[in-house]
Amino acid sequence: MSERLDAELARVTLDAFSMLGFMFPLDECPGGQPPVISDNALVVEVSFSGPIEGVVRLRAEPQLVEALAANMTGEDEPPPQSQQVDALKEMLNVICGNILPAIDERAVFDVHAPQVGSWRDNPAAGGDGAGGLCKLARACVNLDSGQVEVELAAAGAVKVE
Amino acid sequence: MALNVLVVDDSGVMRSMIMRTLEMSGIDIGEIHQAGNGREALEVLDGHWVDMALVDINMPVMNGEELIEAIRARPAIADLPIIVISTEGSQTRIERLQQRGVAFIHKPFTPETIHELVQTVTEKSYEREA
Repeated sequence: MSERLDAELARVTLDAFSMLGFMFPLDECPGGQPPVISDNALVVEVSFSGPIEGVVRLRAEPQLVEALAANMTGEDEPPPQSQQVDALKEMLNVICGNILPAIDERAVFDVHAPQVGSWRDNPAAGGDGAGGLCKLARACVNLDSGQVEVELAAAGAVKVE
Repeated sequence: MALNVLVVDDSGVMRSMIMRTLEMSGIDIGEIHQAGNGREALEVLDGHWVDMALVDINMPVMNGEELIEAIRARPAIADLPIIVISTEGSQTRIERLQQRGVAFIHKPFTPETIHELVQTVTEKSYEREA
């Protein structure tokens, strides 16, 4: 994995959550330590195709997702589950749209509709073990409402500058 | 002078977000109309006066590019100021959109960015009075 891409993924994730979700960073996630995200976290993923094919996945605790949707809609009452999922999907769309130029700024990618997904833990760096995808980058962002984790995986060898 | 706006995005959450950002931007907002795709947007435009449209690109039924083409083909609304709000990262695609006479805001965006762009594309001041 590329440290530069990890840092860029963290930056675009933080930008998305702060500018659109009104959530702000706390201290960095402990380096080298897994994020404190439970198994009932909501996971969304979006696939992309173009010069390379891959997927971006995002997961967050339910209470963060509820707060996110409330912030985005400006509602005082907790938004319905469908809106909460929609809010997290929108964050993922923004993250994906901003990280792909970091791989290749002139390439044209097709980004597909985000959907609810599953998280694939793989302690071996660079290996996803599913569908031949290799993990290119990972970021954990510590927000005032909780932690989010995002990963970028792609098929085949990708040269990251 | 208040700005009447049409917000077109297939995500209800994102439409809410855009409307909140408009309200935070200091622009004097009049009526805000919403549409979930390009076809719904054209129906709104048939029945209401709109000063500016904020349009997403990736939508079902009729996407943003198709909507822009349809607007530009209708003499009554051909000059409607349009701002595309998108996650599109490809400079090639962005330039193609801009060649159709639309402005572009990349998500995520701030109230200040949208304020500045509204002034530019409408060539009018819609400052909200204090």
